[in-house]
Amino acid sequence: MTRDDIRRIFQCDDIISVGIAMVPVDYFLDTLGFSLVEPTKEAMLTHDGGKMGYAQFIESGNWEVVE
Amino acid sequence: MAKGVPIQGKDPLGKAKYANVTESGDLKVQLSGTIDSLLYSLTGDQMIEIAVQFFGETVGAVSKVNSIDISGASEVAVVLENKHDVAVKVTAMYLTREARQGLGTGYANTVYREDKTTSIPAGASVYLDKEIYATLGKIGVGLVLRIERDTAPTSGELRMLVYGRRN
Repeated sequence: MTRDDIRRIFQCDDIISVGIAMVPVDYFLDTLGFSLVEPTKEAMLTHDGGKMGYAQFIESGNWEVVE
Repeated sequence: MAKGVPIQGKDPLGKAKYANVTESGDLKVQLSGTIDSLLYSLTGDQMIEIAVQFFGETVGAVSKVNSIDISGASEVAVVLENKHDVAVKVTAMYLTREARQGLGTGYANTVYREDKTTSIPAGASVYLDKEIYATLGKIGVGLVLRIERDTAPTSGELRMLVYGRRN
């Protein structure tokens, strides 16, 4: 997953919004480790593991643009 | 005694009026607006060990935490930065009868309680104000938050910043 993938799939540039919560894209990719994940919905959901709180956000992506 | 130059202004209806001057010659002015200031900040990593924590002046079990002094603030805003590697959630806010007071046995010192859940994903921040929690717009003197998590973090901390508005 790269910044370009984030932009394409989620239409986010610098900040990811999850409800009223916000996280910088760089933190999401680098610190939370999503940059090491394949840009697929399944891979991202697996990385989230149902514990990081991004499942709904991942589901909301426009996956047709990459899959 | 030398005379100064009279200062005139206009009232809200546009009528000219002399400005108000004290006996010592100081010009009286009235300021309007608001002052926002940081009332309290707190960082805790206790969510790693225990699933339900109360955030007030310190972090801990319900019987161990005193409320944050928010007396004098007409509105309060809370910023929470979740630096854990898992999601956490705010599940309730409480106002206490007095500032820096524990919630008490059976929440006896609680004068207002709002049960409402706001999730904060790993690494994310939220800005909570009275539009999200009515508690933060009420007149109160002591504030406590209840924060929970489903999965134990392996690292990180939760930072809470409490801002108050004085009119």
